[in-house]
Amino acid sequence: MAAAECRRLCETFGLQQAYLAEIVGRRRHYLAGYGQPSLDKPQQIALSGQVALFWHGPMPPESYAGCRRMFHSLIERLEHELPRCEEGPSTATPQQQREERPT
Amino acid sequence: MKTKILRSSETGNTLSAQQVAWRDARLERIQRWEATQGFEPFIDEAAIQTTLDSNPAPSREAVLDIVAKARANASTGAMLAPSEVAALTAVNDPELWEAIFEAAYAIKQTVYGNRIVLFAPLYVSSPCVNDCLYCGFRSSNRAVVKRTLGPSELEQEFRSLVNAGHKRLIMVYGESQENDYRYMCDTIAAAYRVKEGPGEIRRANVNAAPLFVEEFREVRSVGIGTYQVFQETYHRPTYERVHPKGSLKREFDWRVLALHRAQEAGIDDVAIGVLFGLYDWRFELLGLLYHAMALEKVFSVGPHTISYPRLEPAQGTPFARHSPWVVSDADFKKIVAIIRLMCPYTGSILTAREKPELRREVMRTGGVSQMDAGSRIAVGGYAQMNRAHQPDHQQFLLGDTRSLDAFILDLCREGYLPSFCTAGYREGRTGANFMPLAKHATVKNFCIANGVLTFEEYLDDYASWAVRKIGREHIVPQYLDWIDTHVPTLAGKVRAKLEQMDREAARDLHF
Repeated sequence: MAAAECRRLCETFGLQQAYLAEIVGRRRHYLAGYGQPSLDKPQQIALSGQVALFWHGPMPPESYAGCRRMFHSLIERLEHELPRCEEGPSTATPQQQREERPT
Repeated sequence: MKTKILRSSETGNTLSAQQVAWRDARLERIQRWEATQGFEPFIDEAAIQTTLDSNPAPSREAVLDIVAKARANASTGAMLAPSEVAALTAVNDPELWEAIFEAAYAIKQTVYGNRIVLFAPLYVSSPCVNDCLYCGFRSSNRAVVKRTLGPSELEQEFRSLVNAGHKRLIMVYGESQENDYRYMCDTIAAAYRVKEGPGEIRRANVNAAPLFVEEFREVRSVGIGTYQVFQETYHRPTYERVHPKGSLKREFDWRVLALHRAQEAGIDDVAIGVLFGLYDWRFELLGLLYHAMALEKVFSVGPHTISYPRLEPAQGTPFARHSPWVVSDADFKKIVAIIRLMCPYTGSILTAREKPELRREVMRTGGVSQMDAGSRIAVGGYAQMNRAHQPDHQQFLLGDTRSLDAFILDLCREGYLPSFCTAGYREGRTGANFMPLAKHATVKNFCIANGVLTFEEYLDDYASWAVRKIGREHIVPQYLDWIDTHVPTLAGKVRAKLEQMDREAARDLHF
């Protein structure tokens, strides 16, 4: 299901790769995804306190809210299964952190 | 908090009643797990021995075919078959060994590039309820003082490591109630909280006892890197001989399936290893291969790293001097090379147990990808860096005592790129998202770029004049040229990040 949603995102925006990762302290633990990475730092937004979306390719910032809606029910289901963990410091840049704040 | 130091008069084969009760209760629980676990066994001693015995003298052509196949596997991530690994262990021709060594080096270059990742071991707590014959920390060894670091001492250790330039640790624990998974969680979380100037610990790997799934889940929750459990030996009769009955470590299946449980708990970076010198190294290589194959089969994720410590002398540990299976330097070179050929994508860890001259040689012949330096293996050893090594506080004796900076200087002189990269696990390139990159040999593009960035941090913040000179004049330009040639799409971005580091004193920039 998660991989299918990531595939839908890639096809919608022409992304090379999209994947979900669990936020585990400083670690971003790969959950599922679609596509192949490009040789660059992926972009990321937090979909929730426990799950981040990473992607390679162009996705305009105005689409982030739509992404969160798209993954909302999946995230709810995932978080039900994921153990609660101690949050570590974010690895995102300050700009990314502003963009990551949940709407 | 006062350090708990068990003086030599208090150690010995006299665990406290509390320690015995803890051990026995846990052993009972472990044995219940073993009786009901449903994993498919993957170590068949008889089958391994048959495989070894069935091809005692492979032909030159057969060996060269295997070497060629291993080279090709560098781009697919396929492992060699057990019969092929057995054939390599039977090679006696020095020319063929040269071909094998060249292939090991070439495979590592293909997968990871010419970089060496650096880390430090941190012995956090040595009390242990086990009595392994080969270990300086065994419960009956009165010659070694056992110790558990309190919070302030641990902080001193972290700061010493960070101030030397380290970013990656392997945190090592004995097995007892006082250093159980809760203590591990507390101490790992403490590592990640340290910030000393521009320095910090960015990846804490763990080398510790096998845990139950729910305990692994807790340890995972503090954001560890890799969890290492070394089987020590895959030969069950030997395993039982060196691990006394009644000890937790005696339980073979519990230990050999530890990383299966870790994977079940969601830890997808797991590491295996053997203590070479307990039994026949040829057998052990096949044990490692079968273990890697089992992890791939069940979880689609093979070992993140393989380690191959050799049995070394330790204070009050006569076993280490009398084993009939002690591995010579010549055979050690073969072991490391075969590991690279048999599992092309794995990280290969060569520790400072080994002397500098041998480490230099094995780097060229073995396809090594990770090394420690400036290591102290006494609990509390880093905060006492100015003192000599402390044999009566150590698990074993170190062979390479060069400082981190001196080691980096030597790496640079040999043309390697020293790296402190931790990008993969911060960008979700873990487990099933890491394996395809390693197996298809594209991970090196990230490795070299991130290696340059982390090495530049080291040059700015910690390096001696000599390292800074060779680093700026030769190593960084050399590897920027490599990126220009091999990954041109990244070249401009690497330079932009270097400029950002220079302009803004930015740190932790990575891909």
